[in-house]
Amino acid sequence: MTGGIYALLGLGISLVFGVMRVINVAHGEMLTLGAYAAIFFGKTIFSGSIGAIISAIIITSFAGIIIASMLFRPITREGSINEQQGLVLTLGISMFIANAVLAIFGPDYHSVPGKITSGTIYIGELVLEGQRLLILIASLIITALLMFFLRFSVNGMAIKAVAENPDAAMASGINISRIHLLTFIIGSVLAGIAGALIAPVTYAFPAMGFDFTLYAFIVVVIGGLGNLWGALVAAYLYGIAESLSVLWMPSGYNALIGPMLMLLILIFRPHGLMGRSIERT
Amino acid sequence: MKDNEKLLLRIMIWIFFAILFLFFPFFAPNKFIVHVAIVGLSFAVLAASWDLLFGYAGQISFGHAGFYGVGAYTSALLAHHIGVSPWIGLFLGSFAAAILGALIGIPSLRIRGIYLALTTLAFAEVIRIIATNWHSVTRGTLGLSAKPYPGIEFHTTNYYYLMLTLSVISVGIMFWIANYSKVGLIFRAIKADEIRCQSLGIDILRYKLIAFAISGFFAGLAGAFSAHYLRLINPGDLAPHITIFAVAMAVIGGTSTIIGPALAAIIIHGLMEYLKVLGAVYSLMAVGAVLILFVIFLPSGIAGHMPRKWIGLPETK
Amino acid sequence: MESNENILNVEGLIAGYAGSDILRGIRLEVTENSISGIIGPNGAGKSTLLKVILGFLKPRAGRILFSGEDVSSDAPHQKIAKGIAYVGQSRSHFPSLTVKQNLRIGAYLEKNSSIRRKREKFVFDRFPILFEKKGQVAGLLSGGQVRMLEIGRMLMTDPKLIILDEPSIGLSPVLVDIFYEQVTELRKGGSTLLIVEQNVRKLFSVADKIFAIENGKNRFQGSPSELTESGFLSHLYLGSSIVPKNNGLS
Repeated sequence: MTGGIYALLGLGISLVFGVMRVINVAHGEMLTLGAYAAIFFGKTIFSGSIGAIISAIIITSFAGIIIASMLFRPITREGSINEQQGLVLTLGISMFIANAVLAIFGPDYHSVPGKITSGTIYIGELVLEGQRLLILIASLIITALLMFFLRFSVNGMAIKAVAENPDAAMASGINISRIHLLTFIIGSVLAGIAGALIAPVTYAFPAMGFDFTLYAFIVVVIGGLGNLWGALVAAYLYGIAESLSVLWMPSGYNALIGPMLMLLILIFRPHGLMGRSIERT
Repeated sequence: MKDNEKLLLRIMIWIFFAILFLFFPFFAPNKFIVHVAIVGLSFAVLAASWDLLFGYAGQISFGHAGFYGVGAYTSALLAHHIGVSPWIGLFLGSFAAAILGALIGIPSLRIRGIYLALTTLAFAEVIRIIATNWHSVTRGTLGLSAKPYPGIEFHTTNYYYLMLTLSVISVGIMFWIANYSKVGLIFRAIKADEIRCQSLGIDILRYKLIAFAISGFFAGLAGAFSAHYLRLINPGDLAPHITIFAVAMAVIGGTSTIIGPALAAIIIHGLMEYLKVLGAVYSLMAVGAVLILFVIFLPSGIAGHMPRKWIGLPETK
Repeated sequence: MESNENILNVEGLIAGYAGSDILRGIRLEVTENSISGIIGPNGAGKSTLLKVILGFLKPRAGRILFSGEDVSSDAPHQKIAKGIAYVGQSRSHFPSLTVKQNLRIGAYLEKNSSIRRKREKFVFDRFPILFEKKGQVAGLLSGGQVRMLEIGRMLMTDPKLIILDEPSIGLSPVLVDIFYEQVTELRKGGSTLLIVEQNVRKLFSVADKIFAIENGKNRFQGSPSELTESGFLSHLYLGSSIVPKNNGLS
């Protein structure tokens, strides 16, 4: 299950990085927004959690639009964003959102009353909880939709084009700013959906964003920054590894796996397991 | 004559600040504000150390919390388990952080930019997780208590002057290294064009390691002092938010100036404590918003927009 | 000279970066269905000029008229939409996509799929090799084939004005000849070309009009033969002390 969540996050960060060359430290905050949206709109306006997911999508795409058009655009020159400025900018955004959520909703942990599905399925030795299964399935479906979109739709091709060669993309008439906007929205929405999905399973608290951002980074680095399939594979592998690790490692220390793996990859094979990511020409 | 007038003005401003800092405890309305100033000063050293590494040597560190925390923990652990005097602990902690810095600096030869930032982040996280879980040694999340410095009465005013001395010396040393020493010159050359430097025969690795070590040293110093002043440290001191704070201070204060981040740290920390009266959360939101605004509109920070002579920086090139 | 006849008019262009001006009042006139060239020593401002024309850099003063329309402040994708196409020095293709996909992206702005197919056929007719390799990933093509692909991609935008930036760089002499054959073919087909070149000899063999630029200013305009006769070339490139007999300023 966690693999699925990591996949959604990892894809988002990889996509944004590939196209905009920005590591979005605030990515986890999109997840936070999604989770909170799910909780609060799920409680009040929409009954049932499909509505919760939709509200998460709405809120995060809104946030994505604002950030991409008002904050990233001013620092974009000739279609590229200054790496360092972008990094620090997302840092600021992360601080702002995390604390804004804190301000509005308070520091308490929130949980969602009632899950989409309760009940468990038993397959031999494995116990599959309904909600977790749903998360896995949902993330697989969404991932498939995304890949489909990128491969077969015009805008999807445009996104891949900009990621690979922004100058040639511009020369083909592609509006780079618009593609940046679209990409960022997609990334944010992916994270938001992840947040909405995970809300019923764990508690939501304002600082949750950063932990997930870190996981997303780990996954993306392992799979190769900018390489979507790599992020996907790495996400599921890591999710499995993480869950299994509690079996033979004192819990607490198993949190070490992620950062250590990330370090190893960064030092010895910076382009990740899947080989060269989409190199910018 | 205009020039002489300007010079006079600059000197007067420097004197003003000097008096302000020196006699601060007597101006201050209450002890809490002095306390805030002390913490602010330690953050000033931290921010300055980050700027040394980034603004001068061009290496992004997202793991500065690791240096800070290692300095703090080393000093506290030595005091706690072996009974080493905090005075010595101050230096040992700093050295430990410096060694860590050199270690982290080793991969920096091949890793640049964003990848380096992530690498340092990973390092810091690893240290944090170890600190959280090694209960036998660090008492985990309960934290360690650390004795205050012996020989000085634990009085806010005393500690203020202690920290003031430490920070002025630290920032001063870093400033001198960055702007007036040969090492600093090489740092800036590396930042500008690494490949050129290599072709000129400069041993890049050595200087990068030096940069990391110095930066780590002073960050550790800040940490070690805080440990014994606040008398408590826990793994939270190794958390990314410390790094984020350092980065924010440096960007707002003005990278590549050393003094900018230091002053910004003091001012902003003070402002944040003040705003906490209104509501803790809004202060951090404000910092985030300010950071965003600065990145977009004022990328070289406050100090970056002031005439270089005012802050004692030598003319560029 | 009426502006309406010309497909491109650049007047009094001043542009530069961060405080300094690289272009100091450039003018160009490009007539329809012609090949015009821009030459000049390094640092003269040729690439800056192209950047401004294409919309990557905003001019500080002056105008750019495309078929009479003022496009001075248009963004690059707007200019592409209006019919200005461009093949640059750096790789302007997508190595990880197939040849067919590369061409498809070239036609990004064209919504009508039958028009797209027509253009694609046009490109494949002109470059049979591309048709052969249409399913192949572009990263595997040879240097000359990549150049063809880049031209093909550019043609998919159905351009009225084609701007080429130092096209013979990195090509062997044989390929350069083939390339310029294509250029001539394009002109025969009705296109207009504006070429920035260091390979002056080759450019002179096809161009109708040459603009020589030095230090951000026009130094000479004229046909290649006028330019050669005036002895201006040696002054321009070798800094010789021979002052040209006439400037040929029309």
